[in-house]
Amino acid sequence: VALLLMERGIQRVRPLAGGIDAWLALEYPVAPRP
Amino acid sequence: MSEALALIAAHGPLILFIIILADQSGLPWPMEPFLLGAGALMATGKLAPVPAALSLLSAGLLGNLTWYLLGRRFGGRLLGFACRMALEPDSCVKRTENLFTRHGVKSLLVSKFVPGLDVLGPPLAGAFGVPAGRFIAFDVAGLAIWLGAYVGLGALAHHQLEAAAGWFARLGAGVAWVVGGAFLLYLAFKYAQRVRVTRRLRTSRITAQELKQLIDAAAGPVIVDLRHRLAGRERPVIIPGALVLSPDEVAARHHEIARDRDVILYCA
Repeated sequence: VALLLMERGIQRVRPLAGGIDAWLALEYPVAPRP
Repeated sequence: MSEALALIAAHGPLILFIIILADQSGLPWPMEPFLLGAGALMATGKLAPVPAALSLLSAGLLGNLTWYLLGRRFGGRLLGFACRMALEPDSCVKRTENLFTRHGVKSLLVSKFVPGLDVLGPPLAGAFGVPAGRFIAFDVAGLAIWLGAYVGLGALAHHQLEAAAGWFARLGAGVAWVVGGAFLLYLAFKYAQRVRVTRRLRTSRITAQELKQLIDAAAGPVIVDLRHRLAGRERPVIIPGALVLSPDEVAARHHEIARDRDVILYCA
């Protein structure tokens, strides 16, 4: 996906280290998944 | 082909059991020559059909049942792990999940014919909570269709298979080297491409703390939730404001992502 976005001109792509699990582990706020 | 025929003729149902079990356990094993060969041997009376058929079905079911139980235990994480081994992890998850979401357990009837999905169908059935009895019924039916198709083709075309075996024997190993070399070049290209992108992304990774600071500072990054639906069901929450896009939607909806801001991607 990152490669695809770069090819479409979106260069400032940054993956979140650890994904959603890293976010949840720090008990940061979340919203319900639509 | 000639090697496959010789191997099956020498060891019969036992070798078929081992080969099918290895294949259904996920090893990248070229199964079709053995099934065609088994069919040809059955047609010429060199292989007893009933023991061979039972051997094929029981080995296939054993391999698939193991994956099904692992899928029940580990859910979407197992699918993600299996797909990381694939050349195109995103499309691997997407295709598997789409097939199962659209057709449910009935997809097991045809999944054996789709490369990559033959092993991923059973764990997905487990992850989706398909009851064991229903899984076994559809899996056995799918195995029977798949095995029957190749074994039947081998039985019908056994004269041509013998001719093809002789043709390959005359050409020697040259053809195999050319085909194998081309395949290895393709693998090397895909691997180099993945390493290049991974290296670039590794340097630009953002931690959860940094992302929180960006959001709190109103720096306004675009956050994109790329989890496939199965992973989303396991943890039905998102980072506030995240755009939920499945990997197959990105190509069509990338214009929704601002070009002048940091784009934070996350998955499971």
